[in-house]
Amino acid sequence: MNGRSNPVRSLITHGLLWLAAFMIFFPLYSIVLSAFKGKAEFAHSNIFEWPHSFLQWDNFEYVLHNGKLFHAFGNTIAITLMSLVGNLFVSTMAAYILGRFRFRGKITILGAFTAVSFIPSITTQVATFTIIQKLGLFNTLFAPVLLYIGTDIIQLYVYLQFIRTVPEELDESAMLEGASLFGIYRAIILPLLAPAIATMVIIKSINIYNDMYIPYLYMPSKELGVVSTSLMRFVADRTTEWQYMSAAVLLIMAPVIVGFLAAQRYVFAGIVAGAVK
Amino acid sequence: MRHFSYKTQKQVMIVLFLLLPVTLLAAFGIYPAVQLVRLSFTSWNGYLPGKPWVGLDNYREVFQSPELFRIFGHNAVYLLWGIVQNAVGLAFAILLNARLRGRNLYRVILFLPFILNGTAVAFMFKYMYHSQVGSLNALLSTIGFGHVAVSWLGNPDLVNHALGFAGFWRNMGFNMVIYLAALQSIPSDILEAARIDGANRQQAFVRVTLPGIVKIVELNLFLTVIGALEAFELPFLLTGGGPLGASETFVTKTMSTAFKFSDFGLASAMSVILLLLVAAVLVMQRLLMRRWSH
Amino acid sequence: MRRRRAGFAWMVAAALPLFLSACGSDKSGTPESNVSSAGSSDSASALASASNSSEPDIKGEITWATHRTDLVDNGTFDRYVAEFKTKYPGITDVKIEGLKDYSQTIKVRMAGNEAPDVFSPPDEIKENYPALYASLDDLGLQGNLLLESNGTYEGHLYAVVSGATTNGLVYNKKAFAAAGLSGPPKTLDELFAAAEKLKAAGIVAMATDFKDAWPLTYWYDVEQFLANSSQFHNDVYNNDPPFTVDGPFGQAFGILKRLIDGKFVEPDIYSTDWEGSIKDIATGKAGMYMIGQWLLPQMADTGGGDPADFGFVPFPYDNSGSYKAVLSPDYSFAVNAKSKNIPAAKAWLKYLIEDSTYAEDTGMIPILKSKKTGIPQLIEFMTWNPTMITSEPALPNALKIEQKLQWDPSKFLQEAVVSKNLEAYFASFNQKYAAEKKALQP
Repeated sequence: MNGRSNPVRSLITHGLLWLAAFMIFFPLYSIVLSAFKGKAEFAHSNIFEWPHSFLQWDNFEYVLHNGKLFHAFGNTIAITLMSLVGNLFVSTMAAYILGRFRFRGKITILGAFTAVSFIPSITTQVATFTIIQKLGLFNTLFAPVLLYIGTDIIQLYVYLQFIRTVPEELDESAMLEGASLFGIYRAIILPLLAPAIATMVIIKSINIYNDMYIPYLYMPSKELGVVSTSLMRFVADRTTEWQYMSAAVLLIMAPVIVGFLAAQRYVFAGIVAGAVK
Repeated sequence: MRHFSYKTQKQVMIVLFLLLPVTLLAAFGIYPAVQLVRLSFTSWNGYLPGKPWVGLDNYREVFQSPELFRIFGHNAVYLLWGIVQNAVGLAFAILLNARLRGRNLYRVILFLPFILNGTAVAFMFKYMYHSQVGSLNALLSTIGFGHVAVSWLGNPDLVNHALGFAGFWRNMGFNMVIYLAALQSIPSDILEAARIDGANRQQAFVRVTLPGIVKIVELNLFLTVIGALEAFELPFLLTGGGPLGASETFVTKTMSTAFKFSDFGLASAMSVILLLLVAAVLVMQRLLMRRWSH
Repeated sequence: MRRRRAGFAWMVAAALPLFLSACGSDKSGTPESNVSSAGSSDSASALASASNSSEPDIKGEITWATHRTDLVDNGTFDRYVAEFKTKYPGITDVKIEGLKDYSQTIKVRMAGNEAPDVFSPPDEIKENYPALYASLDDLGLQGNLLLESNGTYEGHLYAVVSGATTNGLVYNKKAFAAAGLSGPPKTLDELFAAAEKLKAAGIVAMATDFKDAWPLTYWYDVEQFLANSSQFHNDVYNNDPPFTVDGPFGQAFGILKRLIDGKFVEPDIYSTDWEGSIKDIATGKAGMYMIGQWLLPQMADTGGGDPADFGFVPFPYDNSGSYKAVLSPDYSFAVNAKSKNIPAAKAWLKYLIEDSTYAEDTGMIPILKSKKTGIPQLIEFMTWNPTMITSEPALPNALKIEQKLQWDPSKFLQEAVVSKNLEAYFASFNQKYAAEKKALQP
């Protein structure tokens, strides 16, 4: 056996991958077809029949308008930006300290981050809600922001892996040149973390965009709807109008798919870094 | 800062830099967890001011309700699909680890479902599984298997598998990417050396590759078990625990205990027991893996 | 407690939590007068509206939470707010929160001290009412409300039922004509005969929306007809044993079971959905539906059917030719005791009850005795002279046991009608119930 590919093996490999791709695209394919069909067309055509035209945007327009999506996109963007900036500092600061210094309580803190990640957040919502309320953040954009800003063990883990690859000698030589520890964080650690930060920014954005429960519970006000809550409210009232549901599902998925395709390199780089090092 | 000694600087930095992250951890991670434990000793109904202390009553009640533990049978189906998901993920990782045309494209496609909005995915599967208008039954009849078309979410024997498959669909790519990353981290010269020593492909896999990724397998399996124990979103969104309670999971049951039947104390005890189970799984897995690797 | 469910059980914990709650009684009420004639609600509401618009306290901003997200979406409630602001110029805004997962969300918010100013109590354990809700004694509503005792505790009014519902048999005249039937069934035998004919004509004889479970709760009304009772929760509590195959519960369940076993229901009862059921009955794909009168307006809106095809008559629970119907409460409105703007909150509640078109918009029977319902089909319903049963409050102990056992009536009914051995199914529940009842007795 050698490295040259065997045609039968290659056929099987590609066959299996095609099968997997089919499995993944099958549910998506059917909603794409339905999303472009009119009400009557949907009722009278076979599910796998192509729509008369892929330029028929009526369903999307209907969803955008009735789901009040433009406003929701604004809220989502505001929340995401604030959360990302806050999270950037919170997480890198924690990672720097936990990755570079030895001190009492370090293991406890890391352990606490790990332990907390195993608690399904849905079971602790009452206590969390009380805190948000006491801070006076209920029904403001800052409620989800505060909840998203906090760092989690996965993010810390990825950053710690990166920081470990930065030789400590770099810090030491900087110290010899008289740099402060804060200066080291700013001038050495942060730039070196950049690829990992890029990955985390993407992953965090996707998570924030996809999250529904937090905005739903903490911002019930109509003006504070985000994309996920607005669309889901819209869909939940029209469960048998499959063509609208399909359009809504596609609309909510589309930005993430586009973003992911554009940035997939960073997504994989970060996961690889986190998984392997 | 520059004027202080590094020792002072270090202390200041530790306090300053950890203040916010640890405060957030305490406020939204630890405090709610402590509250959960505290409430599990009360008979709080979930919204009234009074939280009467009842000691271990709630725990006693959970352990005296065999039907609660029977629900873990439903969670077991998720575990089954989770294991399939790991096996398939690893298999595809091995395929994609070889030189292959379109490797990156395949990786992107297989990973794609993982990044999609969970609720949107749930709606999509609801549509696909629908017994009358759904695309799955339509596909089956197109390829001549119309007679096996069923109500995927309506059949008590099938519903958990249908939900487990939706989870598999969404998460397989994630497992694959992790496994792929692990495989790529195995230096190729070690594999070469094994080959030169006369090991064939299978032997090289068992002797070199597998030990190289065993930690990642362990981690993934741990996450799979946790995912199965804490399965919630799919039944919550797709079936509401039906038909006839066939797709209740431990967490959906906890939620209805808390909010539908206003027994927050009991629900908290159930949550605590679930967390203890997670911890037990972690310890058991560590012990097993340690014994296995010796 | 019945209500419309807007679509897919988005977060299913919301589906039926309130069914367990008590139903109040109003012995002095004369519900017949409310449903006997479909008069203009406008004139009635103008009459009922006696509030003083020059009250200086009624100002500022309040928040109202509602489960009717559909009426939030389509702007109906915005209209209410505009009207309310005209009436009280001091009001700057009424913030409306449409909550999908009503019960869970509102409980979390009550626990977190962040409940809206006006909302619907998620629970009806009335001993808690004085701590949670402001007294409404000063609104001048007492004595004028149907199902009033539903919201009173120790003589004080804390919550007002938003509207009343009555059960009955919705039928589609087009479907009946297609099956060669001249009119709705007058007896139970006729019901099954009609089912046969509808089935033969390829029509779903009886819609159930079985999968969603909660629409099945109407079958408990049949138990009340048979047992001549005004509260099935109390029957469960007082019967010993609670459930027997020959008893009223067994008989009532038996009617549904016979319909299911005879395949007179939807082809796949496990994949029905709420909106689909409305469309079926509205367009004649289904012939009958045992449900509340509030479905009728939705059959025109959501279902896209022609109201001329809709019929609504009392359910023929036996062959006697006499009929009954249960008047039961929907959600209530209450004012948060911790509200920072109680005067405005109370004014809004009063507005909802007295002036708004809430009952019309939700298809319910107005709770104010002086208001008349505008649902034409109820006239047909009343010509059958049903004896109107007004729900009694459920005994606190009955509710406590049910909560402890996590008993969900509609799920219980679901399991009962498909169980292979009804007697054993009842027996195992009876045993658990007896144990819990015994534990409750001091």
